[in-house]
Amino acid sequence: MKTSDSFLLHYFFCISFVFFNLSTVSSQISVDSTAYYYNLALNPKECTDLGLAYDYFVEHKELCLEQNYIEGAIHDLSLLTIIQKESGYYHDSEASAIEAISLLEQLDETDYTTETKITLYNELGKVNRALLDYDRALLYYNKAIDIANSPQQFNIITNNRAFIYSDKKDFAKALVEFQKAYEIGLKINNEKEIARNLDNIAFVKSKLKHPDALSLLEIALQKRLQLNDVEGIYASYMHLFEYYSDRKDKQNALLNLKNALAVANTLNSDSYKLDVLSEFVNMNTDTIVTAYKTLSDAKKLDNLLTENKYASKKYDFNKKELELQKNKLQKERYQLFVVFFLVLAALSYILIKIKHKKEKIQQVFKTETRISKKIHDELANDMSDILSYVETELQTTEENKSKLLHTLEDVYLRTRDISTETANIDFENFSDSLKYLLIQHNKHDVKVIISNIDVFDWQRIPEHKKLAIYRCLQELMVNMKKHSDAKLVSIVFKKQKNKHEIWYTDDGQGCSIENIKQSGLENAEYRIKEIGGRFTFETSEGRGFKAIIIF
Amino acid sequence: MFQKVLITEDQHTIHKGLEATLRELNVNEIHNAHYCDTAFLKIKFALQSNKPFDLLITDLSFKEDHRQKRLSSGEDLIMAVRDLQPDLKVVVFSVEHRIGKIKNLIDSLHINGYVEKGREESREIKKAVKSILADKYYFSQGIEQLLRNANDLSETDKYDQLVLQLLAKGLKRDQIANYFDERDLPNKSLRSIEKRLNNLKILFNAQTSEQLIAIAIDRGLI
Repeated sequence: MKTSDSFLLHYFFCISFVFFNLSTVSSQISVDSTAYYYNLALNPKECTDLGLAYDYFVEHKELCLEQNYIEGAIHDLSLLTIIQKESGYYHDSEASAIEAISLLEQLDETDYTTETKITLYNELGKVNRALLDYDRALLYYNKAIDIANSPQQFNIITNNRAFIYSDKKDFAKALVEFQKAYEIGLKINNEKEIARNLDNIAFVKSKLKHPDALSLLEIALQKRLQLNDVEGIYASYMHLFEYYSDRKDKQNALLNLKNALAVANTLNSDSYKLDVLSEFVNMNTDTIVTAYKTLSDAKKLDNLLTENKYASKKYDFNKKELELQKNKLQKERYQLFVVFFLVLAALSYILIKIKHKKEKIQQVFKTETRISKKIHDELANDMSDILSYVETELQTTEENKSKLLHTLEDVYLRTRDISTETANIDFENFSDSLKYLLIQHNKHDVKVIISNIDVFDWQRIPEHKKLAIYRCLQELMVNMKKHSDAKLVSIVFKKQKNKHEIWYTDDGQGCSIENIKQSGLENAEYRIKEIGGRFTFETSEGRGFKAIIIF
Repeated sequence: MFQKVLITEDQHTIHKGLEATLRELNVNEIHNAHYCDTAFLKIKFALQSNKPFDLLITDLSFKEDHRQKRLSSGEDLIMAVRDLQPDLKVVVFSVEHRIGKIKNLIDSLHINGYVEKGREESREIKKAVKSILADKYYFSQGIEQLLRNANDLSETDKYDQLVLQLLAKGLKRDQIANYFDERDLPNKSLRSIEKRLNNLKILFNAQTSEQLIAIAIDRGLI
């Protein structure tokens, strides 16, 4: 019964090994030696074979991890799991399997990863069965069943689960499971497997004292003899032995045990031989032999349990596995959080920047307005006062007076202009404010045409943008007045989809680029850029000036 | 001549100058206020005592100081006075020359005169007082010019742009009229369309329709 489930699992390893082979072709790791040790691990001939394979795969695994070749490391760990289990290092075997599973979690889910995971869970089940921890064994088999998707997988795992119930002496449940496995086996139509399932059913039935148990055991044996399934035959003899042994039929029991020993000898399997011989000892009635056997078995069990206790402290698998899942969840949560945080940070950065920009613009505007008022109330008033004084009161020559008045008036007008340029703006009736700004420059020799000013929905344009537009047009008009000698100035307002356009055109002298740098136009351009708009202009000497504001 | 005049002005020397000018005009009673709030109280008190002012000369902008003000500008004062004593004559005396502000004073606050501060101010104040006495409005020279220019402002609307667009597409005048007619747009008669086009030609100094189209494209009207 011990071997009946192990060799078929090699089938999984063959699959994963093929996959592994394909995926290592391009890697630097030698495929040949891997294949050699692979055979050594699964079909050990010499007693040193497992040790050699163990050393190789431990080293190979580290190499794979160094090169970040996860699939390779997983394969190595899977083989280590088997090597350690076969060598009786069950806890180490369990640790290797769990390490392999944790590596699998890092990979994207594929058929290969699922298959490997099922294999590993199955191995974990077997390891825990060997450790007599039936509950853990069932836990792992159930995990394997959960992700299994082929009838072969269902068949093997259901079978293994049945063995646990059988070991727990819960034969009724074991029977149900074995029958399930048998039905699946029929579908796969694997004769060996069907015979095995049949034998297992018969064995459980014998324990449950079903009347058809013996005939079923014998049918299974016949089938296996026909198929020449040596390991199966061994299992059948052992079951028959147990059948007769349970029924105190010493003669038939001994007969079957002898047959089993013969098969074990043909297989040259020490563990089989040991099992059979151990039963021979059990058959012995000599009190000293019986006493030795009982004590020896008790001691073995005791050792195992002690080791289990130690191991559960050493590895704490439950916790490890929980942590693994927790880490996975946490990792996902962390990633989500990072993404969320980054989006939030970017958004707030943009918002703060916009707000800051607006505040800055408003602050500049407030300061300008305050200074403007001061210039207006203090300087301009004083200037007009001095003008008036010189005009009416100052006693000097007519020539001097005229000169002085001329200079003073120039200063006065410039003071007033500075004040006007930075004065408060009525944003509520903005189109009127803008119109008045443009009208200001409409003179008998300069015609200003305003076209379609109300095409913009001024109410919906924010104040800081209105300010930029106002100042920009102001700059253009002042520039025109100062330098251009233009006769006709047009300001055209156009709405194109979501874009606002303002076309300023004059027929003045135009100017060269160097002159533009010196004029306030750079400032105008800066203001428009600040509100996320575009300011372009076209000019050359003698060909007028055109500027387009888009925002 | 005006018998009782109030000057609202926070600049002391300007006060003196104005006072001297008014004396030359034989104004008897000249009162001063440095703040709009005191000016308003004086007007109110005078009205209640049956000795109302008959002329207010006021600046528009006043220096900021620690005082909390109810009426902080000349506009505020005039607005309050218009409710209290609608027939009081008002002359604005200021360096302000922004057309928007001045238009508002004339259209909404119905001021009687506006004198720009400067070298001509005493002469102009005299003219203003005389004109208003004769029930006429008075605006100093620069302001008069500004107002004329403002009334002269040329504006084009979306229908002008539409006509130019259609013209650029090669439509004849009657076709443009039809287009307007089909969509029931205002001024759709052929005569109105022709008038519109002629106005645009004059506005943009264009001799021919082709020239007009070229100018309209250049200036972004199309």
